[in-house]
Amino acid sequence: MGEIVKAGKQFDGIREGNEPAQYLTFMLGGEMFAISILNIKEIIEFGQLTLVPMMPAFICGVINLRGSVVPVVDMSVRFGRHASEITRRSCIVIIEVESEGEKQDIGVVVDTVNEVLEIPVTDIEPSPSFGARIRADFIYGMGKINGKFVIILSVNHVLSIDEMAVLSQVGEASLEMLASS
Amino acid sequence: MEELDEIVEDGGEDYNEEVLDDFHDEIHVSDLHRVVRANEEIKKVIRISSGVNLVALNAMLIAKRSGERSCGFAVVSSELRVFSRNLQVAMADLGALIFGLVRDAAAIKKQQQRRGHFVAIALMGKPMSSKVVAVLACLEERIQTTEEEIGKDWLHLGIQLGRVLQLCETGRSLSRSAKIEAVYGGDMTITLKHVASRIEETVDEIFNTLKQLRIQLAE
Repeated sequence: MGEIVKAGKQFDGIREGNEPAQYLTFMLGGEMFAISILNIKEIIEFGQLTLVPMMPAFICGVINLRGSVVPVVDMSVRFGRHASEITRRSCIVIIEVESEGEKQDIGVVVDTVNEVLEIPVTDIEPSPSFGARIRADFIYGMGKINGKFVIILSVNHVLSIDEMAVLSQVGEASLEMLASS
Repeated sequence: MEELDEIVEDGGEDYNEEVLDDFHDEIHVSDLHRVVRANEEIKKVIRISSGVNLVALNAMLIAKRSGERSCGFAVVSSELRVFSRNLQVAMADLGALIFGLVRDAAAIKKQQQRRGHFVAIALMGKPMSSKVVAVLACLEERIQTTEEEIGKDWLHLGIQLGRVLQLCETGRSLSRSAKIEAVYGGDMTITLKHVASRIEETVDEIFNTLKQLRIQLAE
């Protein structure tokens, strides 16, 4: 699984310049988040997840997406929260992550998807240096929607393949240490 | 009157159960079955229609990713989003109507059971029988009111079903347009066709289930 996750400076799906970009908004643990639609391949209903042993906690398993194996990340666990509660509104957002010229699809479990919205660049504020309940580098910016702020995620940081691989190795190493002690 | 209401509500449960059982046959079980069947079908349609939202979102996403090549498909996909929202509202109304129908059907079943109890008491000639006649009259009135409510509920359900079917016709036109627009998608044609087919399948599934339900209601 480590091979699928690599990091680096990649295309974050967010346009440069003053052109308004479109974002998919979704709910996670009662909070609204947004991802640039250029990163999103498709949205599917939650279901038929295959559990894989020895995976880090934030990877809930893999799905078969038209013959391809796609790892599914529980975004809530990735943010250091409790695992997402699966309901009939739960969805898997298939996100395309690009690293070192290779494209990789990763599924992300969300509580519910809302809307595709256009947010002008002028309505995106820089991410706060403190006070957010998720890591600052996971936030691309704070988008203003109807007077409220929505967290625009930096997909390539949240789904950084390298970081996830490292976390996976750390998890394995600590398990081995526990077993040997 | 308050005392009568109390007796009507508690159902005179101190009385002989064996005699009471004979009167349970009066309950219109078929009506209740009809409501339960309609409720199941509507739940199924509501489940499918929530999928339309995902299909519409996916159509929009793929259209945006395709860019200029699929501007026609983008127009259809945004119309599909409007359709999906309207469908959700219509489904919520349909859900509220069937909820009211289930509630009234359950209420009438209870009232008929109580009537059975009191008829049994009257027939047994127990000391309280004189009061029972008044209670029965009160119950009859309630049953009549609930029956009228159920009649209205069925009527509204039929009307709402007609509206949703009309809405689905719009969805079917949109799915046909999506299929046509997909052809002009250049190298994205296959993906767009796949999305267009999913739109068609979902809308057809809702349409056919609703049509089936309308036939059931007309029986």
